[in-house]
Amino acid sequence: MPDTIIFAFKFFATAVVTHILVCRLAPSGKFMFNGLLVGFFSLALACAWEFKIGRADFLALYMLLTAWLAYLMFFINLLNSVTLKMLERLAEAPGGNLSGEEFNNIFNEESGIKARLADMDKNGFIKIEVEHITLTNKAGQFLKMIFLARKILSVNRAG
Amino acid sequence: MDFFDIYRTPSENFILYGALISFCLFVICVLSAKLASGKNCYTKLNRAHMLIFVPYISACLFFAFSLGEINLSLLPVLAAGSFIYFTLHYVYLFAIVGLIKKSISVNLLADIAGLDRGEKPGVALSTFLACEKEKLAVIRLDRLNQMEILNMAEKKDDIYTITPRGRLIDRFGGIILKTWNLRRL
Repeated sequence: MPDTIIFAFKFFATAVVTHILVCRLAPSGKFMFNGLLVGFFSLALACAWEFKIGRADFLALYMLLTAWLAYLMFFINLLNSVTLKMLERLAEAPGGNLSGEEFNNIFNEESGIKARLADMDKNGFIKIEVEHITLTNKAGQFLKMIFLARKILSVNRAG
Repeated sequence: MDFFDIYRTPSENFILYGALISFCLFVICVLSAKLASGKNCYTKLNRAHMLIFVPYISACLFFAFSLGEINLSLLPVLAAGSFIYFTLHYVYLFAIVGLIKKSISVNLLADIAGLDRGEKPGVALSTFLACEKEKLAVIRLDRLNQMEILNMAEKKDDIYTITPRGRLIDRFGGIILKTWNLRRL
C-alpha cells in the first residue's frame, strides 16, 4: 500500500511542477486547458509506467486523477470565489476597512454580472449582440445536463 | 505478473471495498432523503457523510482486529480507504452539487433560458440585468456574511474590518497566485 501512495504522489508532484513551469513560462490565460492537458499526460504516463512494470494499480490511478481534480478545483475556487475577491478588496482598502455601501458599489451588476456574461460570451455559451443575449447550442446542451442533475438530486433552484 | 492482485490481505480488501460501499450508502441517503435540496444542503450533506464514515471506519478496525491483522501496516490502508471515501464526496458529488446549485455562471445561464420565452430568441440585456439585480444583492450579502462566519472579517456599524486570519488567507492566496503566475478573474 505505501508503494501505491508513493507512486501516485510522485506523479502528482511531477505534474504540479510541470504545471507551474507551463503557467510561468507560457502564460496563455488558458489555465484550465493547460491544467487538464498536464493532468491527462500525467495520467497517461502513469498508465504506461504501470503497464511497463506489469501491474494494474487502479487505486494509484484513482489517487492521481482525484488529487489532480482537487488541485484544479482549488485553483478554480481561488480564481473565481466572490468571498475571496471581497477579502482581497478589503485587504487593499486603507486600514482594511470597507463599509457595506462601498461593497455594494464595488460588487454591483456592472462588475458582477457583466464580467460573467463577457466570460461566457468568450467561452461560447452565449452571444451578446446589440444589447441582446442569446444562448448557444453549447449552452443548451450544458443546461440539459444541469437540469437532469438537478432532477436526480432533487435540487429545485439555486440556494 | 501481478495484475489485479496487489491488495492481498482480507483487511485491505475490506477497507478499500468498504469505502466504495459506504459511499454508495451515502449516495442512497442523499437521493432518498433529498439532502441536496433546501437551503443548508452543504451542512446536511457533510453531516450525513460523517455519520456514515464513523461506522465504516469502526467496522474496518473491528474486521482487522477479528482477523488479528491490526498492525502499523494497516495505517496507510486506512488512509487510502478514507481518501477514497472523502474524495468521492468532496471532489465529485459535492462539486456537482456546488455547480448545479451555487455556481453564479450556471444560474445566470439557467435564468437566461428561463427568460427566453418570447418570439425573438434570447433576452434583452437590460431586462436580464434588472431581473438579476436583486439576486446579486442576495449573493453579495450572503458572501459578506460568509466572510464574518469564517472569521475573515468583522462587522461593526456596517463597517467591515479584515481580521488577522483574513489577512493571512489573503496573503496565502496572493502567494499561490503569484507562484503560478495567475490573476483573479
